[in-house]
Amino acid sequence: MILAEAVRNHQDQLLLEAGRRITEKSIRIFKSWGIRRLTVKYGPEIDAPGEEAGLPRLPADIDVGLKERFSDAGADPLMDAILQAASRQLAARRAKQKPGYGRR
Amino acid sequence: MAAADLKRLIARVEDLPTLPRTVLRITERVNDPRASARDLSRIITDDQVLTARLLKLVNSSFYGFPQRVSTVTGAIVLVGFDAIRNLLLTTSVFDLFPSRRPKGRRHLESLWDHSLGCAIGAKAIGGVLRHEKLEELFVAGLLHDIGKIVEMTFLPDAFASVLDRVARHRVLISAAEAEILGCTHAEIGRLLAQRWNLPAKLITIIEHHHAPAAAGAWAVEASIVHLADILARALSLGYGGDDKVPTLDRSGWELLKLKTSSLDAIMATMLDEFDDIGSSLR
Repeated sequence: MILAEAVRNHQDQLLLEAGRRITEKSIRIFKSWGIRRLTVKYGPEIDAPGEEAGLPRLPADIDVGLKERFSDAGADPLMDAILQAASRQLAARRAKQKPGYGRR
Repeated sequence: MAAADLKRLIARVEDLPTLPRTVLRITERVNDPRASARDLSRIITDDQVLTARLLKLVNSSFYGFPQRVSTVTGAIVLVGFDAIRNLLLTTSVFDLFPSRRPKGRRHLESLWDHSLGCAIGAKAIGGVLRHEKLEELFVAGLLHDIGKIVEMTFLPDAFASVLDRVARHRVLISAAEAEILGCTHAEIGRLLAQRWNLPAKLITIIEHHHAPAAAGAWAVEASIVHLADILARALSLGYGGDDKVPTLDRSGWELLKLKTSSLDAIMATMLDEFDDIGSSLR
């Protein structure tokens, strides 16, 4: 699919310009910024895919803080990989710390 | 910073704390090929606090020995001379920068926590890369931001202005330091490391932890600390002086030949070890 309109984050930084092909990676970046809707060429407006099943989700407060810390990274794929890994590990730790898990 | 101010700052470096005598004596003995584990043990056990901390750290998950290590000689035999020197350096630097003000103390602890997170990260990355000197990477991570501690302790007003600029303009602390001090914590850290006669490798890593490709023969180690710094910030381990994660230096990353799929395991280790080791060092 081809992007019909540029996608920007809440700080107005360009994430992907109009006319670029939408890949799984770009969808992950959009998701990390909370982008829920895209406009594509030659087709209807689509929703970004939902969360993958089975993975713990990061609480909203930590998630927002994490994305804020990465706000200068733009669409750098390496920084995106670090952001995604940090998100997964922080979510996993939070899940472990829930009462009854038995962690120290 | 004007040249005169920088000179004044450098002059103040002369007032910086020196390492404890025990650590200096240990460093001398470690470099002596005739020294034995018993010789080192005698020096260490003269200092009860150092002895207790060393045994606590050797028994923490940092090493993960299956059996409890109860004697200093046993610890030396198990981990080796170089590692003992690094551990003692690690346990000593925390005491060198006391802050009298409650707010200053909180800042100081947050900065140390960030450094500790970076140290654990550097060791974890080194483990994935099968680096031979994991303790050295740990110490490099621990000391990489020592320049910020110097600013905070010896230039409290200027450091407050730096933090104010970070908050107002949402910039990285290095950018604010360059504006206000005319130099960054990396350069100030280098001055202190030179003052302490630390190995050239460590001095170079501290100086170039934001631009690791410039670290010459030690570019790999500087890149490891650079990445660990970024991962510690991403995981919010302590506070590095700003709320941003700097962009990874591409050439440093390529030097490491790491796969992004390793990042999860490295960060999981960092989170697991942070609380355990932190409590062993204080």
